[in-house]
Amino acid sequence: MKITPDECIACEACVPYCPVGAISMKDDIAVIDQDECVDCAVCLKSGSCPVDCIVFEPAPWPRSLRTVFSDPRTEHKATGIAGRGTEEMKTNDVTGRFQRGWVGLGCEFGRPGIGTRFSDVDKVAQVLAKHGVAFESKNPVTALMEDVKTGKIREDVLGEKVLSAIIECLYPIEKFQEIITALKEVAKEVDTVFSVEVINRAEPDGSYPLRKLLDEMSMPYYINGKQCAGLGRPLADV
Amino acid sequence: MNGSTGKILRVDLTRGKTWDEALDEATLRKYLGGTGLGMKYLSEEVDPRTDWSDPKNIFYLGAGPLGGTRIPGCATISFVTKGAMTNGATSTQANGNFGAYLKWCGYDGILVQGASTSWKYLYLREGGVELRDASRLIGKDTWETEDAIKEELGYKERAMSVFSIGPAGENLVRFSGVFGDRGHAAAHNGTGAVMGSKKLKAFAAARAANKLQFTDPEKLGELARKTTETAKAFGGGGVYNWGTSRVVPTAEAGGWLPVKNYQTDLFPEKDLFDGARVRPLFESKNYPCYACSSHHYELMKVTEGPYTGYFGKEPEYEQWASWGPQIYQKDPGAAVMLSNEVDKLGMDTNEAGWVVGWVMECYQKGALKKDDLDGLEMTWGNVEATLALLKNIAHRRGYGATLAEGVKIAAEKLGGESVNWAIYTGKGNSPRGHDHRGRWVEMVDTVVSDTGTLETQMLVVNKDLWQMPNPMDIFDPDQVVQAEANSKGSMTISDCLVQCWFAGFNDTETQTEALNAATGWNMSLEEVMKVGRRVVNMMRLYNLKVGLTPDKEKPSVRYCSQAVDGPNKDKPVAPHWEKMLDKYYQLMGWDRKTGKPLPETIKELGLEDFAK
Repeated sequence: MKITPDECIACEACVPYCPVGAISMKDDIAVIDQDECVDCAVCLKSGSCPVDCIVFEPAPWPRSLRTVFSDPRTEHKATGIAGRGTEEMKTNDVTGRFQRGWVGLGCEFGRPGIGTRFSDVDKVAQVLAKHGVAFESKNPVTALMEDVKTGKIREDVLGEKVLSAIIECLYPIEKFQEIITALKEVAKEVDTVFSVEVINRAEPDGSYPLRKLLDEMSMPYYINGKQCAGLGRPLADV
Repeated sequence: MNGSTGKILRVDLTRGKTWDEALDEATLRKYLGGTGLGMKYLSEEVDPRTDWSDPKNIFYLGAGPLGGTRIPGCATISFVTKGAMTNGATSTQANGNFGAYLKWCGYDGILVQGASTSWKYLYLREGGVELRDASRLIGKDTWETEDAIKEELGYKERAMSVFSIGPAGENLVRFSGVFGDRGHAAAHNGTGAVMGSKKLKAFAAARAANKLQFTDPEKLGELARKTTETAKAFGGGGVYNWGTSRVVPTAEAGGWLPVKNYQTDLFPEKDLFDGARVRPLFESKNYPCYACSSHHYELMKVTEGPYTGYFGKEPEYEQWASWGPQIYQKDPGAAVMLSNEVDKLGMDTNEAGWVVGWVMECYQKGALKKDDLDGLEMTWGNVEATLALLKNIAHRRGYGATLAEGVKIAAEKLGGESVNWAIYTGKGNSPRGHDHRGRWVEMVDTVVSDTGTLETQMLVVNKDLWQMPNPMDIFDPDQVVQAEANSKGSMTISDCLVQCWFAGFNDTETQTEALNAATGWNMSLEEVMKVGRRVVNMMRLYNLKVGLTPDKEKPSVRYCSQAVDGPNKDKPVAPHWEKMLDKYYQLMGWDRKTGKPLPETIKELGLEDFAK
């Protein structure tokens, strides 16, 4: 995003709209810090500029990633994959994608207010890879990996900043505590916020296998009801 | 010198030359800028006996120490000259962007002297000044002139600020003004006629990089935000959110809407002119000045009635008043059209409204007939006849040539009872588009003012600082005069700093902080307030030498007549007039017989040099 300098009237109306605080007042006009801006276009779409001097020109690779990871309404042409993550993660009760004995894991990096760089995503992905996870092939972060075996993300995109990015992977439940411990460790090196979500199927008696494992580790957790209760039937009881 | 470019531009039109002239800090501390600086030049350089149209008159336009900062309202420009309506001192301001662009081009102000033999316009850009031929701009209206200059020089809409005169200024219509940035006006006291007399069609300043130095830019940023917060809160944010677009119904309810040339105070169609109705109805878009986030200024396209499709600026309250109730016309679309046509022809909307209203009353009462008016049927509310009459005035055609002198001179010429129907002041300056019989402070102010328009504003933020009666009975003669005299200087400070009242609300405390943050001075509130009073008294001293006498400080018969209906019909102002003047002179430290500032007043304000 850019502000046309000879049209800006320095009214400051756009400043509060930036989700990553990249707009500031300088030399009596508003300027956007190009390194911090995630090209989400919230400033433009807010309609706050009375003289319409906020402009967006699609950027070449790798900056083009910023918009696709930051503006939820944009298609992932740059990675060939739509959305930040795969839809099925949230609808496991219907799709039965994560079967008993397996854990689906998502790491959501960045939030409005802070964003994330791919260098941080890279650190976590490499740690996960060392523990033998299988990265979800239909996920846009996976598409940015040089090698899904190492989790290493392409060098040329590591400096790009986006509003948020999600790693998705799968691993056997036996590795659950080991991986959570490794994530706690690597989190110390990550320069943004990220949340970890784990998905598995409830037992027929309604209990959650991961609950016991988390309690053993004294990890705080929240059970989010993202089941599509009553709206569908599992494809198979797997 | 922080806050200042350290120079003004001198333009000698007689010789076709321009040059820079340095400003020193002592002068700026004494006058700040804008109106103060302009009055210094006028007092020092123009013999009070000089006629306004004489090439020896000067024309000053300037920004102030806050010009080009982010403090809202400080891209405003103040014009000072010997004006055509009163032949005395003038201080009138226009908002827009010129004040900021001027300073970014490297000047605090422009002083025009002499007169050209052929039409010129002045072009300023970073590192360059040019007097250019304006012959092909002659006859163009103020919007067309703006377009033509931007096109000629290759600037986009907001990359240049242009202020120009229209046909009215070219033809020396006494109440013509200067218009720019799509309808912002410095139209009081005949500024346009002065430019016309010098054959200067326009000023154009390109937007340049801001290389100004300010002592504490961070503090200025803070104060800019504080000023915005004040504006958002003032009067419930009415001005911030709506400008003056919602005033017509309020004015009618208070009995201060001018209806049918003061023949009534009732206007049942008032709500049709409410901005809350008009803005969503007409296609309108915010068109703000530099450094201002308020929704004061809009451009709009009429979407109903016979003038559907007409595009211009949203009328200010005074324009709604003149081109709606004053001429007893009830179509807001027609009011948008007439407001903009008056701006484009280049005339003061207030005086034009008093002129047309007076003609309509003369027509109603048989004092002027169709034949006297070049065939125009000036019935109340006749929009097309009004437009034709306005064009006749701007081009001085037929009876328009008489009306071009303003309502006071036209009525005196027609004579008889018609003099008693004209709304004017003894000095010849025009009241704003109000019925001041319901706003006594403004009536007193308009009449005693030395600026050629209002001189103060009772709506100041720091009421205690200015010792304003609070709460105030607006019909109590004593309190009216106290408010008027005690607040004198508050608006003048805004005009020396050159800040829009609608952005800054004469918040003297914040203004003083901003002045110090910009300049690095450490001026106290008292010193800043003194500058305001100093400039007020400089104007008075100048006008006394022009020939001002206290007997000219009175409203016309109609202006102070008793309202015939409405909420103020039992509140006649005339019986209190002389007593109010007595008290006003006393509070101002002026001699009652001569109107002159007393020796102690002159000494206190350091005006000995100007009192000789």
